[in-house]
Amino acid sequence: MSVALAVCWKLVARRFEVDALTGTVTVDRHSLGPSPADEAALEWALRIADAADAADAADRAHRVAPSDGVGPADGVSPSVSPVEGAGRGVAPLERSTVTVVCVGPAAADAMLREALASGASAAVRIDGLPDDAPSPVVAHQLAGVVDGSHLVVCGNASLDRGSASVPAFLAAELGVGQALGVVTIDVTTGVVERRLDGGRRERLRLGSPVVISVEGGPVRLRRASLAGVLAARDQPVGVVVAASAARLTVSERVDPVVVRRGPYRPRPRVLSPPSAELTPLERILALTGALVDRSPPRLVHLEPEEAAAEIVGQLRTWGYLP
Amino acid sequence: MTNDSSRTWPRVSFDDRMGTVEFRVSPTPHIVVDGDSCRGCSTRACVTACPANLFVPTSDGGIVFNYEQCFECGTCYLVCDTEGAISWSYPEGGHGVVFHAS
Amino acid sequence: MTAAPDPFDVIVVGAGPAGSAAALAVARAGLRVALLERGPFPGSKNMYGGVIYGRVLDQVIPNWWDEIPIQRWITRRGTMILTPTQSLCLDFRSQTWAGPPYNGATALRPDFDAWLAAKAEAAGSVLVTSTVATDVVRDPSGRVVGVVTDRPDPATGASTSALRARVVIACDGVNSFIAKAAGLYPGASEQAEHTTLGVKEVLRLPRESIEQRFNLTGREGADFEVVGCTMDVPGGGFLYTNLDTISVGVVLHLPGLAASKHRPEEILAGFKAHPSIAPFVAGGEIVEYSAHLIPEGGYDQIPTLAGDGLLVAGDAAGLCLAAGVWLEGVNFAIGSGLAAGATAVEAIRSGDTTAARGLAGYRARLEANFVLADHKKLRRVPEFLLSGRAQFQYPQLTCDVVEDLFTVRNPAPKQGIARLAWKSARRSRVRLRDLARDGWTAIRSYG
Ligand SMILES: Cc1cc2nc3c(=O)[nH]c(=O)nc-3n(C[C@H](O)[C@H](O)[C@H](O)COP(=O)(O)OP(=O)(O)OC[C@H]3O[C@@H](n4cnc5c(N)ncnc54)[C@H](O)[C@@H]3O)c2cc1C
Ligand code: SF4
Ligand code: SF4
Repeated sequence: MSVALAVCWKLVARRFEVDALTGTVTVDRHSLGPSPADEAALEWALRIADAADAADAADRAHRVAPSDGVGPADGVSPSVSPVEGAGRGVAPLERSTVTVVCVGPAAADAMLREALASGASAAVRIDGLPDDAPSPVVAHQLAGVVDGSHLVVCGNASLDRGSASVPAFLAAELGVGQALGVVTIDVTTGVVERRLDGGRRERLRLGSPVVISVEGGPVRLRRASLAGVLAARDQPVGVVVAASAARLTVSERVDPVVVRRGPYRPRPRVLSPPSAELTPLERILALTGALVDRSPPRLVHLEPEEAAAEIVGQLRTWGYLP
Repeated sequence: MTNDSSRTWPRVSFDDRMGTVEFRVSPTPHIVVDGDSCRGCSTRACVTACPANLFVPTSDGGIVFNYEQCFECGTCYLVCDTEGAISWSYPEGGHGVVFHAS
Repeated sequence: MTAAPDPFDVIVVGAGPAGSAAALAVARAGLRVALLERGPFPGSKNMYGGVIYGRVLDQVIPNWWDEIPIQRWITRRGTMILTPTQSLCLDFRSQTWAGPPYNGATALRPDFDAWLAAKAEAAGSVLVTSTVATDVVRDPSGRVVGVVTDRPDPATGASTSALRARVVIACDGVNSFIAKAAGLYPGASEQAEHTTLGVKEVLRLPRESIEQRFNLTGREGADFEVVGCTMDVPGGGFLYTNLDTISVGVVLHLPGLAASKHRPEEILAGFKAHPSIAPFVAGGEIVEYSAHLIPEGGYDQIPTLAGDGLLVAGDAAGLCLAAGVWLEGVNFAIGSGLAAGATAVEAIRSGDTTAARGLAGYRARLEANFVLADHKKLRRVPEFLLSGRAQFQYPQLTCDVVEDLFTVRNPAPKQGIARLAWKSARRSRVRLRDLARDGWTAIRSYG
């Protein structure tokens, strides 16, 4: 089935200078654009759309009988690209859509054209909110536009304010499930992996509709083709003016299902520097913990099975295993 | 010859100097140095000439090169006499050095 | 026969001053032109000393001085000769340079190049940034019919894609891989001989300090060119005032640098520490460090300027004028870019884009205006300036003569200048024959 995806982008300065004395922030105007996490959000959305369309095409090849053109039951629209369904009598496949939405000033249009050049199908800019609008307000405006999407992908945090709260507010606003801080996505199964506190990881199976936020590192936004860049120059960026309460269709909420939760991984212990009053020897002792009372090492002689059980038990006690 | 003691500006370390420059580092290197070709090189011209100081001689006669903080100036391939030691190209569009105040 | 018509008549590679000027000329004539730039915005890859001479824009952007993004208008121009302990400065000021049509101005390239590229865009050029032209595309006859770019081709899955047009104008700067790929650089192997490396620091200082130190008011600016300050490497130095920064740098001849034990930043530090320079730069906080090459070969090193379907302009054609008291490249780039644009338009209209006929007017245009006329006049200068005599002996000789002249040795009587010169020449081991020949070169070139 073709899917409707929405990606939320914020215009941020990727380079700025903070005056050490006054705290004044000077933004480098040449560095305005999406955060790396936002770019990753678009890349994931494009991959999911590609995977959905590929599955559709495969399904179609499998199902279409030579006799007459029975298309898939859902959403057959002749207006969309006919590439895959060009066979005689076969209704063209409906392509998945990726709409990039931005709450921001007109200066964001250039960035939205980059998104179009990279493969987004449409771009919408919500105008009229102040730069420092609080997250719930931004989420409310985004909800008005992304409502109805199967999946909303956000960057997990913007570079400038970085409170990582918009995706959560957006999910709440839409009344849908959420998975935040996603590291990787299996685009065919919809299983995502995200970080939890304490170095743990969690695997979730997504339902739909759902809002996810992704980290910037793992994927890089694909490079736009020359044709894409040239076409995006003439493609319009839809502009809507920030409105007061838009009515949302509240669907039944499908929360992601936890598939697996990884073990707690203790972080290396942080040692605070010993007091400068101490002598060098005392400082070394304090740092190394030498000559401090501790439970002495235990020496055990066991059969392999018992030894394994002992090790697992001990790891549990120390917190390395759940 | 200049008198170093007459410096009246704060000394900057080379790292601080390079820290003033923006590099939008591409994941793939645009310059590749074939350390083996360098073993026979007596000039080591790149080591003195590269303004970003990216060519570092190793104790066993080779060269270690990092592409990340490169000005893309072209000095290295012009001063190097050894055929095939340096494969030089520009980084992927939009990446590499970005000047702001020059 | 190709299926779809090419979307562009002309492709310009590089949105530096040469490229934007070329695109401006083509777009103004009503043809479709793509302006490819590998940086994320025009100017992002470009560094220079700091002064732009804008009069070349008189014909294309009337009253350019009202809108060009400048730092300061040059009203004070110094030419300095340094030895480790001496300095001699010819310090010139003119208030006529403080008002229209002005003479030179300091400007930052990310500002200036973006401004000029925006002019080209406003005229109808299509600027495509973050795109490297990696090669030329040729038809079976060898004619250049486009460029290969580093953007992917979704149709074939390839990591590069081609863009085609009737004429390609290579304005890709000093390393010009386009001109090299097209075989217009026969002497690429000796390129180092005719190239210098410029390294510079931009230093932040309070605006008032700059005005006090350089004796300026309002938007006035100063510009100093220096010889004899680059240790054992032939080259020169420069010092320019921006609004609240100064640009200080050295230019180093590559073969000399390769053979030297001194690294570029060391030589720059030495220049900054010279007693005549240090007071200007003291306390400046480094904002940006940068490096870039300069083609210094002059007239005799200029490559073939046109191939079938291809023109070369600006630094890509070695048209930068680096001749001692002059360091001008931006105006030469703009001049040659405009001429290349006009030639491409003419050729396309005539239906002949061969080097021998349709594009032959390019060189003639350049010979007729300042671009090649100046280069021709100064053709002997680059070699002379980078010679050991100009670099090391004459600065010493000149400073010694002046020092003797001004040293009061009572009760011994003063000596005549000729006698002082003769003594100094012998001390600095200058041969009279060389002196005479170099003098003659200078008179022919600068006279
Ligand atoms: C240290 C130094 C000091 C100087 N001082 C002065 C001065 O004071 N005054 C003066 O007038 N001149 C000065 N010059 C010279 C001047 O900078 C150059 O002559 C001038 O910039 C040449 O312009 P251009 O357009 O030919 O090339 P560039 O300005 O080099 O522009 C080339 C453009 O092409 C782009 N490009 C390159 N390859 C590709 C590719 N394959 N695909 C796509 N895009 C590409 C580059 O990113 C760049 O934007 C100085 C130069 C240096 C290095
Ligand atoms: S890169 Fe060239 S100059 Fe540098 S060490 Fe290797 S061979 Fe020598
Ligand atoms: S291009 Fe310039 S900065 Fe980069 S490695 Fe070569 S010499 Fe160094």
